[in-house]
Amino acid sequence: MRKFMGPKRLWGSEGGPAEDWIKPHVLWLPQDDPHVIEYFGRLREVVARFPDVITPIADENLHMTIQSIRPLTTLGVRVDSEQLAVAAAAVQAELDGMAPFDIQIGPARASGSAGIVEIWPEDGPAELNHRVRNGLLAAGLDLPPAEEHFWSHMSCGYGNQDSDTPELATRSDQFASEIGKSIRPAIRTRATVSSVWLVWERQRPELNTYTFERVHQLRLGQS
Amino acid sequence: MEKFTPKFQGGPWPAVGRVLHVYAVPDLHTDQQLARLVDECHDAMRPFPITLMHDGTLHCTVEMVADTTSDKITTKERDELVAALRAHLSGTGPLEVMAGSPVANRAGAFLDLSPDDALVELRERVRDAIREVRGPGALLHNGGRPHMSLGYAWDEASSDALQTALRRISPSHAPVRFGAVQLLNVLFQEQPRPDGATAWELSWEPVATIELAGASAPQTAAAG
Repeated sequence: MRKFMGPKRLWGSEGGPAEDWIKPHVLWLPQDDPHVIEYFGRLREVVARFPDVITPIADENLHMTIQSIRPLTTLGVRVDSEQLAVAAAAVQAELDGMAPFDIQIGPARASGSAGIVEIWPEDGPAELNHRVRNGLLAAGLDLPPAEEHFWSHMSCGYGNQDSDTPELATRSDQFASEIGKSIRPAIRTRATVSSVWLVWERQRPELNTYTFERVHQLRLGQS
Repeated sequence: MEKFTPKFQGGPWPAVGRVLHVYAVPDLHTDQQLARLVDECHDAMRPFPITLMHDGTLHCTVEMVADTTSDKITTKERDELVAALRAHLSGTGPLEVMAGSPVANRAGAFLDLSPDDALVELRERVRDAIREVRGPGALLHNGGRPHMSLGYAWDEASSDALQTALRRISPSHAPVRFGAVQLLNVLFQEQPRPDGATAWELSWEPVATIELAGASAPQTAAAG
């Protein structure tokens, strides 16, 4: 496994503007669902056995990214609270016509630099991503290009260093093996997606995690 | 990923040996969504050093008869094993599970199978039958997570790059129905490749088909 927050993934730079470490995001947040929190708690027990490989994610920081937002608008202006409020209204209008949907969460697997938890079926999250993008773009926010197939996933840990010694490579392989099978029989759980949050997300390289401040809750199927 | 090397009793695969296995084999003519998913996975895997499991080798391993190679199992012993499998599986009905997502791993790639409750129960019944006929020494593995191998690697390559290719496949899941399990005489042979490398290739001879004709377990489709 590699270090997750390597140079190419960092939002800011040492000595650079503090606000570079913060980006608006639209997230699905599972903190109110005890089944999901319990599921990730069991994954965390596995992740925590490999502190030399991967950093677990605290309950309060669990999330599924629906859309990241560039910190500057298409006009080159840094997004502020006022623009976020405008975007919230635009996204809410898009979500009014979309019914809440169920997802299956899991199984978990190791990727090159993280513990990944699959989300399925893809249709609901893909439509949600599409509608959220429409709302954000209508509000004048700038977004990374759309993916051909929206990859809905969550993370259960972030790689904390490159496994560049034989010992670390072995440990990384052990993690990859254990994360997929250690929480059998319940290697999946379920949840209903009924709202998303517009947040200020902060990258915290010193903690190898992301934290966020909830700003606007946007509900599906409000109409 | 790294080169897949089959093991037998913790050591190298026997040079000319076949080993009895119980496999659940999908019918890609019937399960056409699965056939499409497998095709798309294979397309993603083609740039990688992987021997692909096509119709005829695609399978879900239920259990291996691991106490000896099949040439040392007499026809009478084989018949007893088939009879025991039929007896222990008489109450088991067809299984319908979901295959997906495709996952890259050290040996190549596989499709996860879920919910796994019925598959785990099937495996336990098969293990009971093997244990009854050949003793506990014929069971040397704990089984692991039910899955269907999509291919076996014949060289080192980046599993992360393969996973990135696999995760672009949508839909990533497809239903699969197992109406029987097969007792098979399984052979792995290390075959030369045009580039000078070698790859372990799987083939099998059918021994017996054990229909799953009991009552179907209710499919909960629940988390599992």
